[in-house]
Amino acid sequence: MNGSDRIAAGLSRRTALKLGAAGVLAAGTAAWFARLRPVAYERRLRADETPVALSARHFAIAGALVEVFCPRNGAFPDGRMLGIAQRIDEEVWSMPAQLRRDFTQALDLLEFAPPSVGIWSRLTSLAAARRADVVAAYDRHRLLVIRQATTALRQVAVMFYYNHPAVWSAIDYPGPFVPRSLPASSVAYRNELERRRSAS
Amino acid sequence: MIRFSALSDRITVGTTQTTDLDITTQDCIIGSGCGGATLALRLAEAGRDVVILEQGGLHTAESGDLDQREDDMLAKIDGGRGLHASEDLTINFTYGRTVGGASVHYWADSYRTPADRLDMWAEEFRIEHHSLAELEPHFARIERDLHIEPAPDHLLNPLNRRLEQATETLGWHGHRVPQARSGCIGSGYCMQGCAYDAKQSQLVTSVPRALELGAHLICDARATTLVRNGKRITAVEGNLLDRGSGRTRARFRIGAERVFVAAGGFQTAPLLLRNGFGEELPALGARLYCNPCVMAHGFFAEPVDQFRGIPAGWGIDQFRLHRYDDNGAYIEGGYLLMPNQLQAGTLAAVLPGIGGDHQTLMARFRHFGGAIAWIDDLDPGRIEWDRNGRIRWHFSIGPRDRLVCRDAMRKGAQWLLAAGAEEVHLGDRARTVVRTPAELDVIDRFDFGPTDVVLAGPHPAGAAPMGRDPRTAVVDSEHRVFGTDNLYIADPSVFPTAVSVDPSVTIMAFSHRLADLLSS
Repeated sequence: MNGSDRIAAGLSRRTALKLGAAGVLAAGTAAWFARLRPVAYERRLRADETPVALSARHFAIAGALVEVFCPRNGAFPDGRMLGIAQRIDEEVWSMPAQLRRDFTQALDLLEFAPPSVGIWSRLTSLAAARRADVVAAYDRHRLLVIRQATTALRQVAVMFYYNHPAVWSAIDYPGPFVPRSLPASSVAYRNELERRRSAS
Repeated sequence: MIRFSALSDRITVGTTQTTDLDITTQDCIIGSGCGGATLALRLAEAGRDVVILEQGGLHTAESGDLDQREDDMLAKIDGGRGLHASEDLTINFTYGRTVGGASVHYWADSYRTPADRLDMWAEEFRIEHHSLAELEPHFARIERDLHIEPAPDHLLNPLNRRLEQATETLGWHGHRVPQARSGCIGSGYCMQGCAYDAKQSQLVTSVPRALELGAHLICDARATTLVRNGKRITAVEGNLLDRGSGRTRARFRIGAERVFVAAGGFQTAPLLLRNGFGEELPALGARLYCNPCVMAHGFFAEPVDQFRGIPAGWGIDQFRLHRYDDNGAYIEGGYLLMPNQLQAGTLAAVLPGIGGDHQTLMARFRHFGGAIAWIDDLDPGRIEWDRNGRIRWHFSIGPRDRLVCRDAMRKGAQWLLAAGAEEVHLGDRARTVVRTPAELDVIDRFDFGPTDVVLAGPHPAGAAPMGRDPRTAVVDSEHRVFGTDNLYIADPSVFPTAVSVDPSVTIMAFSHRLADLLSS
């Protein structure tokens, strides 16, 4: 464990996320932040994506990460096309407020951390291949808090990806024996999603 | 199949409740897992008027709720929807929040408490009334009630069979793991809740039996307040939750002669802490054990289909106890070693790698079969109820447990290689792969710190320990919280340490013993 790891390990998860986010945010410039209008992120959403729990910014960051963690690759379908970012939004919708704050702070941290690996850009602004390189660098980053955020987001994304039936043939998984029965939280989320889509 | 529909007059479903509940009973039990449900059954058998409060919902095979999808079932039955972890993210915690508690997702491994552990608790922690002789009749009843038998041949998947043979190759000592099952078809979805009512969880055993005897179950009910009058708890208050949104639909108040907290090893201490008991009882939340699980993932040339059959039909008990040399230096042991069973989403979450690299591993899903070690942890964490009303579980791998984790991972990888694995993936960030036993020394460099490897902590214990002295314990040997007349704890929080085997039978046996003590 190196020095920064030791410092980070001594912090609580929440404090570490705050400090880590603050440190990265401080590296930005005023002009750069001026570009963080919601519309800039809304443009990064797919037509079939509708944020319910996350802001447009956080949804777009989640989507950009899904593209890295669950790319189209041979028999493996594109996770974002399968709606994995929307599924993450659903999960956030069910989180208690405190955990939701932690989660969105982790998304912000990864969005603004490319300078920490030598890339002067936001994660969502990077081309897919470059973004994948940055996330790979996050995964072995010297700062524990960035590794923590990367690990947490990766685990959530792949959990939902490999539970999608469209992925099962790629791993030769025959799937469950019984019909699907959505959790009450999923039913409630989908109702809310439908309401918002109808309203817009 | 258990027909909860026939017991509907004994069940209040909070998520459909529109008016406040105000009920008076003799015994109120918070939690419906191994501790709470077993106690409810015994108290109902004794003719007591019992109310069981469960924060989670009622999810049954009869209703088709148990749909074998990992993410759906995490949302229905896991306390944190699979997202709860220690503060530094060293370890992921899994626990039940559903009628039947953690037994709904457990593996059905069913061991009697080892005699050495009961002796240690008696000698070092001064626990009374829980000797092997005193628990023996309860072990016998639990084994009868839950149909506990060694795992039969036909339920072993190819991975289990390979590892059983490898045990002999290595000259180790193993055994068929005692299983609580009746009519199991080996679907492989034990952790998602048995869709066939074959796994003998509390959902299909003690809970319905208690209801048949007149107990009243209130699900979607989050207990928040223990109403106190001097040394007596007079009522339990809380919220009835909408299962979809998590929002409060109504309030409840259960007036009771006796209150039993059985909310589980991760949640009981926080409930007492939020009710101010930490000021009087410094041991409350001061220790947290969780049986950290270390994994190694073998890749086999032929499919081993570890996702089918039962999870662990075969286990290695040779290393259960820690071994030290004459100078007190650690040699080996301190864990049970078993075949692992992971469905696709969980395997994906524990295997390292990103994007295409990770998909390359997952493409070989049917060929992956792992070993898992349940560490008998020595370096406890702690539980905090912070000033913002948030539960914080502090847990990192301490120096003693780090040595055990290394030994467990080494033995697990060795076992897999002996079983014919072409390579073993250690699951670390560096994506270490070993192909021969000679390469296993690399494990000596593993720290098991945050993000190093994925660890799981499924068996909490110790946050409200039993003992004689309120300065070092929370309950006495009759499970009563010090300083109270009628507040008891009936779950693994009372164990002074981890159990060293799967704790379910120990939890149930302690609840049986509590029922004995109350009746005497």
